[in-house]
Amino acid sequence: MAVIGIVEDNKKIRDLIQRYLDMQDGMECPVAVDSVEEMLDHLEKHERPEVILMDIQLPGMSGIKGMGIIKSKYPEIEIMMLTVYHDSHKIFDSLKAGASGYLLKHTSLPEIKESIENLLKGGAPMSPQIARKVISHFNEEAPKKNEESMLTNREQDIVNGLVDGLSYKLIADRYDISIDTVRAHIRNIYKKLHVNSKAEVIAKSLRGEI
Amino acid sequence: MKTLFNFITLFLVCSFQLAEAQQYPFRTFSIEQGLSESVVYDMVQDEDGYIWLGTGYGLNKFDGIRFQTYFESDGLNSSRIRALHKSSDGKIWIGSEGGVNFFTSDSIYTLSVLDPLQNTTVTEIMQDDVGNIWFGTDGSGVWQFDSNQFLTQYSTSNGLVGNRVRTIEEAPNGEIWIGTRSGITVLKDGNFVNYTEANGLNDQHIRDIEITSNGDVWIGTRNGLIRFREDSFELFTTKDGLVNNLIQTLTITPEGDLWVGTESGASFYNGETFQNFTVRSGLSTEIIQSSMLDNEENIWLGTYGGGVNLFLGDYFANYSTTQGLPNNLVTSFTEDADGTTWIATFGGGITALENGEFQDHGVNSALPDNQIYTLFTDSKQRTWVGMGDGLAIIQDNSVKVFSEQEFPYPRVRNIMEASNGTYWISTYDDGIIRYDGSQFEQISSEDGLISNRVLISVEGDDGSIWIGTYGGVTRYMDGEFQSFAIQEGLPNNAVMNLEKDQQGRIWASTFGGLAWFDGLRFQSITRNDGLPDDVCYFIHQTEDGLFWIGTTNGVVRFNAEKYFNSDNGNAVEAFQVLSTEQGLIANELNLGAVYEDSEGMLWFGTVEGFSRFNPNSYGGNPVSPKVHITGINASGREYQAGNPFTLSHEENYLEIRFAGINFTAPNQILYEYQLSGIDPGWQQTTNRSVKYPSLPPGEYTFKVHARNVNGAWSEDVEEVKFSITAPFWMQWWFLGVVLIVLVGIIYLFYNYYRVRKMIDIERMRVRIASDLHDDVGASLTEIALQSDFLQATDTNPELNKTLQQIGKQSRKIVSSLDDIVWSIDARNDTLGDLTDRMQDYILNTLEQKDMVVSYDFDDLDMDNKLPVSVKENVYLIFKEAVNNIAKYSNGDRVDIKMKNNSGRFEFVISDNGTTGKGTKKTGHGLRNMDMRAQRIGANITIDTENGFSIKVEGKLNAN
Repeated sequence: MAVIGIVEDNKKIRDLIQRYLDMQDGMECPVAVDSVEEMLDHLEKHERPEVILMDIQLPGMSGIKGMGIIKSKYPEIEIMMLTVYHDSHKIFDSLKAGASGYLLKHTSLPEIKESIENLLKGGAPMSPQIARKVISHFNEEAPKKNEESMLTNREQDIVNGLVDGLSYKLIADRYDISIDTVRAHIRNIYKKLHVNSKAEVIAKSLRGEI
Repeated sequence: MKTLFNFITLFLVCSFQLAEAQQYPFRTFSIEQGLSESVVYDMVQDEDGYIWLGTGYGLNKFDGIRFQTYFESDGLNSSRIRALHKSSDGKIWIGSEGGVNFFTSDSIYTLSVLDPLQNTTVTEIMQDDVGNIWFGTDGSGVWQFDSNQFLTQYSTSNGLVGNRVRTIEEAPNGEIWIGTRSGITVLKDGNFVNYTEANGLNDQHIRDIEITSNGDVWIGTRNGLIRFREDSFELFTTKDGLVNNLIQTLTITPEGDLWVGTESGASFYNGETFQNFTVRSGLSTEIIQSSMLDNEENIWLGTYGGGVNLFLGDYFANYSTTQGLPNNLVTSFTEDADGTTWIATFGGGITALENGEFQDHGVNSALPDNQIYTLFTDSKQRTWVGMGDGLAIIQDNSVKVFSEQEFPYPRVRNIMEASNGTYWISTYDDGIIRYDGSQFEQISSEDGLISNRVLISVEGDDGSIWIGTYGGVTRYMDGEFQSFAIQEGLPNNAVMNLEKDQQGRIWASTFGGLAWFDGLRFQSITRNDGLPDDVCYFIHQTEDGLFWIGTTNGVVRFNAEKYFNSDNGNAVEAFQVLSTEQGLIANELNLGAVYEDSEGMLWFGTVEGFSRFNPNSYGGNPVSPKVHITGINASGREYQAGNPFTLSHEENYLEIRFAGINFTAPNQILYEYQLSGIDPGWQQTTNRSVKYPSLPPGEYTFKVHARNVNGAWSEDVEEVKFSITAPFWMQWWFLGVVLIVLVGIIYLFYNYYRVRKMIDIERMRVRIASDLHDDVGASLTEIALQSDFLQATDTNPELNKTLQQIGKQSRKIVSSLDDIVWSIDARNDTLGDLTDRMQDYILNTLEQKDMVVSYDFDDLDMDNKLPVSVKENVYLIFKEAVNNIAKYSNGDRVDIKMKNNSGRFEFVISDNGTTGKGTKKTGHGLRNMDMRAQRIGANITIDTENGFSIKVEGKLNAN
């Protein structure tokens, strides 16, 4: 049974998603709160969800900041951003903060369910916009020569494929790998993005910039 | 014996010269005046009027006052100048001991073709009628320089009579006469014809040849003057009156008269007699080396050691103690019964001028005083002598002195004989004395005379006696006195002379100008009216109606007719000055010292002797001066006239120099000048320069012309143009820059506010869009999610379909809002952002349709920024197109291509379907696309023939 949590300040949307996910087989959504603070409170005291759907604009702490805190405390929790904006800059910021994917709020409920399933299967969505940002992000990081956080050749190939607008299926076909492998790679890319960002944050904090 | 003979000759010559012992007005210019050396070998006048003098050391250019000198350092082959000539093109050719140069437009030039002459002494240069220039040399014959620039030498080997050439002259018939030290060669029709002593030439040592317009050839030799006429030679020597036989130079006047310069003075031959000029007559030195007539017909005599002598004419003959005058203070003249002129001096008694000699016939010893004021010869041919000490009468060489008892009035200043036979004797301090032949009767201030200091009296036509005193004028008639002073129009009460003119008008000359009596009062003529000097010692009218007025600055020749008939502006031309410039012995005349003799000669007494003036031979100087602007000095820097020039605003202290070339009276040139914008009209000056301190910036034209003493204006008005630039803070470009900066600042302010306003509007747009998106979007999302939720719970297919529609529609609106927010968000402004968005959209719309989407963004610069409007409209066109494809296409492939180069973009989206023919052309979506393309000024081509294809072309930076 996949446990899903929701942080969303719009009560109606939150309730609808919660109720819908609760109705699904193999999914339960015991926690749906309207702020990061409440979620953190919940996480300390209750069973932790595997996946949290997180709004960005929230009362109190922002979703992006909250996600960073949650990821640092509970790295095993996958967080998907739930955003009203199709805004690649905001989305990319959240990915760097540790998000494994993102959902637009108007995404239909079945699609939300599907995305969660995909995520749990190990995949993560990545649009060409995000892929382009990923490339430039890693290119900027390149001079740091941190081998661990650099993209592998295959990951590079996949990102390039995404930039070209290829679907996961086409990428899988092009490199003769399965769609799941593509998803896994993408997920890994997200992780590296997060690691990179953490390294950056540490570096920045060491330098006293934060 | 020979010595004795020489002595006698010398004595004879001297006595002959004594008989001519007056000084003529020669003006000498030599080293003291700036001439480079005192030996003048040749002279020529150029077209600008300057006189060039070649000396033993240096070439001189003379403007009448100043010499400009040229030497080897200025480009001359040699500074030892021997010959000068002006060619028809105005060049001055210079022959020297080092060959030939020429001078034109301010520079000295050398011609390489004339190099063969470099080591010879060029003694003569002459241009013939056809343009050949002939060079005579001292030892290498003559050289012909023709118009084709060929130089040909002729020497004794070619038949020339001698190689030491002294002169070359062209006859009116074209013959070239070459005078040498060994005879004459005439080049006639290409043949040399030689004349030597062997064929009748009196002397072979030729110095100069001049040929008159009627063909007479005058030949100056070392043994006299020869005239060649009708194939025969005629010799003139001292026996004929020539001053000396050692002739050096000849010059022919336009009248055909001849000037002969010799080693002992000059002679002027008028065809009958020789008039001789020596040092005693005013020459600076005996040896005349060269001669020339200038365009004013003055003769210039270049001497050996004495510079140059300019002879102004023999209209003035001057006498002073040098010529034997007993005293230089000459007060009066008279002519006795024998026609002898007597001269009264103040301190030297009286003397008679007879045949050029002064003698008193013993009268001075009989006179009680040698301080003579006046002489007067009455109708009985008795000569009255007015002295400081009384009165005497000379008759037939016997002197009768009036005793103090008979005539107790000293200081007799004038004696006048009235028409009724009475004599009127003016005395200083004792009034006027009337003498009827037996009795002296004193008339003084007690009787009604205005002053007892009487200087002069004249008789009016009506028999009235006009008495000039130091207190004014008294008219005495029939026992009645009527007096005139300043109140009655006299310019000054000190009257020195009276004159009755031909119309019977009484004129008075005073210390303050002239006056004439109009019947009621006196009318004055003073300096303000153009009279050159206010101190008028005498006034005298000659038969031609002209008045002669003695002043402290020469004698004024006054044309009263011209004066009365002219406007005030031209009155100045009624006055002409005769001063030392014209040959007057001195400029300060004496009171009443004027006399007109029976031959019409005027005698003027001065403080330095007297001048005898022949008004009939004095033609004045009709030649107008040539005026030149000689230089401009601007705050220390020299500029030349000619081309316009520009000065900076700091160089605004200007001195402009000019010169009117006139040699007769260079110091009496009157200039009129005007600087446009500064001088309101013509300004007059006799100075040769004018200064303008601190001229303001601007364009200027300076004009000047000159008038000689006789009123002849220069033909041309010389002018020079120049401009003074404004300082940079007054220049247009600076003002322009200031203006531009001001406009720029205003524009920046304006722009700043405009941009800020635009930014504000933009922010508002984004905020409104975001708020709409957030609030409306959230509500719509709720609706969509509600419908999703209901679909998941309710299984009624009819309702499901409706719910699906609600959800779809809601999401579509949210998506549209999202697009709007995206497109106006300034962060998403690159082509990369646009293509990312496009790909996202494709993913969301076409992925499910199993269509292969191929992107061709290879030539795209992803970092190229896009204006919001282009981004928005291209994206929305794209979206519409993709929607069309998604909706209607039956193909399986979509090609999306985008290119950008040189500021333009091209966007193509097409599918490989076959549907879509015709029908959708006018559909709402297509019209929308059209409209959007128009908004960004792009061309859109929609092709529905083979599948669906849209091509958009436009400017990247449209807006």
